Amino acid sequence: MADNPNILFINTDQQTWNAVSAYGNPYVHTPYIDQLQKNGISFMKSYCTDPVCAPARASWVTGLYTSENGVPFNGGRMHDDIPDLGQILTSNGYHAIHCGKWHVEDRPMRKSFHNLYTGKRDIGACGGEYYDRVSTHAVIDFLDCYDETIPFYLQVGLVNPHDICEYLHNHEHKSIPGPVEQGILAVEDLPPLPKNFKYDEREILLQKMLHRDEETSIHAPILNGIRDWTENQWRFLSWNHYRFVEAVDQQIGLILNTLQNSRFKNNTLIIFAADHGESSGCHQAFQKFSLYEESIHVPFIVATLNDQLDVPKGVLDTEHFVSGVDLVPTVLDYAGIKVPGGVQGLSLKPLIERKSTDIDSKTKDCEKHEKKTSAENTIPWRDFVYVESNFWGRAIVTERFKYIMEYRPKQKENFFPPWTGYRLYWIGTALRYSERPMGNEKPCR
Amino acid sequence: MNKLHWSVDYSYSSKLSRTKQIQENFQEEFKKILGDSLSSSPIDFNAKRKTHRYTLLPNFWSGFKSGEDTNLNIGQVSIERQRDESEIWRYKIEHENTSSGEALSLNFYCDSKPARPLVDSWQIFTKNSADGSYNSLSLTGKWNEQINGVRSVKMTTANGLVIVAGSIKHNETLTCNWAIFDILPLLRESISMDRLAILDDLEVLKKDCYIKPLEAWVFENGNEKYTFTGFCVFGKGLPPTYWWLTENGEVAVMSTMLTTYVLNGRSS
Repeated sequence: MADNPNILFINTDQQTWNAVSAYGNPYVHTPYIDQLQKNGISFMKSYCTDPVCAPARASWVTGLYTSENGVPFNGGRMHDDIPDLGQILTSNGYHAIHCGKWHVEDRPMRKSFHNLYTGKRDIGACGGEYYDRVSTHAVIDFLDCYDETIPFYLQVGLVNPHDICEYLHNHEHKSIPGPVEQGILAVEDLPPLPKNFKYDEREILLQKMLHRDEETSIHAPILNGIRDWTENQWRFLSWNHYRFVEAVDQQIGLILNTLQNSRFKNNTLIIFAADHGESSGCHQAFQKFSLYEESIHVPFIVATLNDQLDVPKGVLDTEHFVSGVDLVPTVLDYAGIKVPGGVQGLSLKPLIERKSTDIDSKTKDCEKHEKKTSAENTIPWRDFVYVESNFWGRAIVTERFKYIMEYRPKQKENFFPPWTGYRLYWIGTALRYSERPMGNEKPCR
Repeated sequence: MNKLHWSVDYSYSSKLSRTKQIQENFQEEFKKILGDSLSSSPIDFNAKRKTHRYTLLPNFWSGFKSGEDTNLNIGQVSIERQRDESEIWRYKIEHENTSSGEALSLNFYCDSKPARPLVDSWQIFTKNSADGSYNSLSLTGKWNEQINGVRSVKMTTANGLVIVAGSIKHNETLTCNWAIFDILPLLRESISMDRLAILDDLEVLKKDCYIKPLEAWVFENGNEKYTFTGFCVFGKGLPPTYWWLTENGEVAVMSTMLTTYVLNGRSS
């Protein structure tokens, strides 16, 4: 057991897959996530299991889809009989520690993990400005002082860039001038509107109810407050989101720089992921919830700061679909622990280790990389990824298409909230290759 | 009641009646705290020793306080500085956020130049009152000698673990976010400042920061009127923060995304 690696799982909240400068986005500066990219393998087709905090996190700790573990929405109740990652690791000789945002409903974190820090009143959905720097302090202190003989699994839940939600709430009941009117930015300082800013008005009902209809949107006051936004205000939303991404990247930098000089550098595997994405103006939408690509497509990197663990460096895996349910089997595989029956995910370890020698680790030419991996990959793998959205919809993302199945209520007024007397009626499968990614920000495609 | 400037007005309503009641107190609380402090004598701009204290008001209620706690205040900060005979300012910051549970003490020195560049070494002490095994942290920071025109900023824990906070070019100015309280009064003539590097809380290096002037704001409290000069500070990893200065050059209000800092006391 002592030879098994330590595992550091750093996660951010509400970060779309391409809000990373290493993936070619010129509007955000993330040197420390870029450092992870250079020191590891980026799974470029990584998806959350559900584009909301609690469900996505419930899948992280159970390896199950949200419809299975009881947390299909914020406020769900996780089934008592499902073991979580902390319990499994602890009972198999690991020191499992949690720090920062937990937000897995109805599963007391302290019964599963050692609590390093979770705020004065356990961190809820938001508060990056308050909590992230304290979480980082706690991690620095931990890496400085940990002296147990058993390996650790440390998961660090950083809240930002989730504070972009408060930026939006700020518009609910007051008029805020745009950045040019404020005199703080010029138009050319703002990122351009995403190429998919104009949404398809024939979009499926699910997207309409979440993003357009004040009667059904979970954030109707925001929707009402930004209805008359100018294009520059939408661009400023994206600009602000990137600043919050940079803020959390700076916290990640402190953690990595601590690990770099700690005695754990040579035996620590780092996993980085986001729970879900942020629309940031794509499809003229904000936040997450729906099955649009920007909500469900997230970064996922496995890296090390050493050469002792078998992790390829600087590789962009554009071939394999990865899901939030893969975290549990991946962590357990690296920890040398048998994966419990029923877990849905797949271990990424074979993909990571399969060919550090096969892959030209120095190249960033994705096309070349894809050709190599396609020819040499013999590891059985899924050719789609499955995503749920509350009770409302399901998506199957394949290489060419995204198939979306939505549930439609018999009567609209029964639709919300779904846990108060809802009745769901399955109407049919809506097939739609629903959107294009953010054009020039799409990496290596 | 006269409205506050949009950049510091968080007396919004909410769907939750309880939250609405509390947040509607925001403006009342804001005006009471600021009105009381502004009614005291301002500090001489050239004083060699000065202290400003601020109350932290949460911009958003949900999630940051217990549902039974109706007190808006979520902490305070004290900014104490003293200029010595060699024109070096010694800063002592005491910051407490009751939502995060962390108390932060910072000690550092700045040159008296307008951009208040950090000099010498600095100390960071934290103490956590929230649940969890993390109790406290002690860090000492310092500049390293420049190598190839670059200076690195390093911190060392009490156990000797070295953490690199980042590096900047030798000719770049690096200041601390808490020194901005003294930088802005020198920019009151609508001057902006570009490409400033800020060592946020003495540990997070934020490069390419900007200070931009805003329109003036007349703050009305009863029969009293105060004309404030505004600035916006932002940069890489730093979403906009809004600062409002009195005619005497003291920061009366500063607002980040989640917190509004309201002047509640001053002394020299």
